[in-house]
Amino acid sequence: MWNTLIIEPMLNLLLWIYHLIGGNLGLAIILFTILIRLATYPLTASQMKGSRKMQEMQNSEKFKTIQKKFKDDKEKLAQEQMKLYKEMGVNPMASCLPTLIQLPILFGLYGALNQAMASTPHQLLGLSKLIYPFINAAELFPLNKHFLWMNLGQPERLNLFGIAIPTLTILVVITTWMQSKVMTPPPSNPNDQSAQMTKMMNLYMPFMMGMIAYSLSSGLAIYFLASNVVGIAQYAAMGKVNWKNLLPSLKSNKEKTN
Amino acid sequence: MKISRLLMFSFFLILAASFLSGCSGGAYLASSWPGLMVDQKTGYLADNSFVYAVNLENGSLKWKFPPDKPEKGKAFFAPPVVTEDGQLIVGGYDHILYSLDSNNGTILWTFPGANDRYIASPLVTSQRIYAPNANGSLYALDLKGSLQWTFQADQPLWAQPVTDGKCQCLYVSSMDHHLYALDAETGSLTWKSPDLGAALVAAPTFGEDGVIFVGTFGNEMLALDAATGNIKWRAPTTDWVWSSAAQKGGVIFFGDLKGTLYALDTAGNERWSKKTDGTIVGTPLLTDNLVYFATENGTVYATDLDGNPAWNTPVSGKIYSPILSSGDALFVTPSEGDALLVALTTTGSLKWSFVPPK
Repeated sequence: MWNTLIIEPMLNLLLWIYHLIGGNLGLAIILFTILIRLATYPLTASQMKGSRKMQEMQNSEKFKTIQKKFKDDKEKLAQEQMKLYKEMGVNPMASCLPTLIQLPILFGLYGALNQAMASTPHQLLGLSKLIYPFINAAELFPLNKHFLWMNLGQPERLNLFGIAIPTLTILVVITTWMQSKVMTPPPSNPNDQSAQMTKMMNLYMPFMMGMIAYSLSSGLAIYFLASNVVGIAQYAAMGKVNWKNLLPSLKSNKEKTN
Repeated sequence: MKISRLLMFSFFLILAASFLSGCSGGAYLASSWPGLMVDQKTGYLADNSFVYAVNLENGSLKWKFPPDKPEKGKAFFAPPVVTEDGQLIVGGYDHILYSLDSNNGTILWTFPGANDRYIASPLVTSQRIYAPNANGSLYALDLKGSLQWTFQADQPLWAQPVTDGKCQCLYVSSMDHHLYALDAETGSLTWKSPDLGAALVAAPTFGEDGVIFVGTFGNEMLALDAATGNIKWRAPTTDWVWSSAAQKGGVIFFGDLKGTLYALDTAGNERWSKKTDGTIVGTPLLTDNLVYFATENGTVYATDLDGNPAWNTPVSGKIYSPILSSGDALFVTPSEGDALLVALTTTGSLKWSFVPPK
C-alpha cells in the first residue's frame, strides 16, 4: 500500500522529470523538490498561519494574566488555556498538524530517491517492479548519477588539497539552521516551556540533518538542501521571514537601543 | 528541564538512526543475493559480511573470511572464482579485490585500485584475472595482483566477462548499452557493438558458428556476430532479461523478470516458452536431458528440453542466483530463507542445508 500510494507515484514523477530535462539527475531532484514543496504549499501556509495565531494569542494580555494567576496550578492553567484557545479561535494543532501530514511525504520522497539511485542488484530489481508502463525504462537506465563533482549514489565529499570536505553536509546544516531561525517567530516568553522546546528543536534539527546528509547518498542531501532553500524562499515570499533572527547580536543591540 | 533536553536529544538521535539504518549498514543486508561457486568438493559462498567455504558432501563449514566478526565496510555478494593455483578471488563492496587461500581463507593479496563495488565475478584464466567494477572499469591483473591494464566503459559493469578460449578475445557486457570485444592480452578494443537499446547486466553466451547471445533490459535477447559485433537477430521477451542464456545443441534457454522461461533456436525462433510463478534472474542449468531453474518465489523447477515439467520443489526464501551442480547434487542459494545454501538431489529432494554460524 505504501509503495503503491506514495513511493511509486513519486519515483515515476522523478523519472519523468529526469527524462524531460535530458538526463540530469541532480537537476531532476532539485526540480522535483520544488514541485513537491509547491504542491504542499497550502499545508505550509496553514502551518505558518496557525503559528502566527498562536503567537498572537500568547502575546495577548488575557494569556499573560492567566499564566500569572495559575502559575502554581498546572491543571487549572491548562484548562484556562484551552478555554482561551476556543475563545480566540486558535487550534493548538494547527501549527504542527501540517508538519505531521508532510512526514509521510518526506519519507515517501526519501524512499523514492533511494529507489531511483539503485546502486545494487536488489535495488535495481526492486526498481524494475515500480516503474509505470509509460516510462521508457530501457532508455533511461542506468540513470546518470554524476552531477557537478558528485556521484549522487554515494555520500558527497569535495576533495580540496587532499582533504575530503563534506560540503553538502555543511550546507545542509547551515540552511536547516537558517530555516528554523528565520521561520520561527520570537517567543513571547523565552523562559516558557514551549519556547524552550522550540529552542531545543532548532538546535538539534540541524545536527540531525547534518548526520543524515553526511552518511547518505548525495542525491538525498541535495533534496534536503533544495527543500530548505525553497522553504526559506516561500516564507520570504509571504513577507514573514525574520532575517534579524540570524544575527542575535544585532537583534539584542537594537533592542537595547530601543 | 535537563530531562526534557535529554529526551529531545534522544528522540532526534533515534530519528537520525532510523534514517541511517535504512541505508548504511542495514542496506548491505538487502543489497544483493548470495554468490556461489562450486568445485568438486567445496562450495565458496559470498553473502553479506562473509565468504564461506562449505563442504559439499555434508554442508559443514570449512572456513570463513573474515574469520571472526564482521568487519566494518566489508560485504561480499559476487560469486568467488578459483584460479588454477588455488587462489580464491572475490570482489567486495568495499571496492577491494581479494585473493584468499582457497584452503583456509587467509589473505594472499589485495587490489585496492577501484573506487566502486564489485558486483560481478571476475574471470580468471591461466595468466590473468579480469575484474569488472561498478565504476565501469575492467581491471586486468596478473595472478599476483599487479595491474596490467584497465579498460573503461561508460557505465557500470555488472556482468562477468567471458572468453571463448580460442582467440585472445574478451567479451564484456556493460550497462552503457554496449557489448565490447577486447584483446585479452592488451585490453585494446576489437569492436564495440551498436547501441543495443538498453542496459546489459548478463554475461554473454557463446553459441556455435561464431554467435554471441546476450539479453538486455530492453525486453530482448539478441544474437551478435562474435567477429564484428553486428546484430544478427533480436527476439522479444515480456520483461527485462537478467539471466544469461544456456545453450544445448541448437537451443538456448533463459528467463525474464516476468517469470517466463524461453527456449529459442539459434536463429531466434521460439521453440517454446513457459510461464512460472515468479521472476527469473539466474541462468538456467542444463544437463543431458533436463533444464533446472529457480524463481524469486523460491521454487526450483526441472523441465525436460521440450518444456514438459519433470518436478518442482519449494525452497525457503527467494532465489535469484543460478542453480549450480557438482557430482550428483544441485546447489541453491536462497535470500531471506531459513538456510543460505541448500543441496538437493537431481530429483528435488533435500540432501542438506547450510546455515551460517552466528
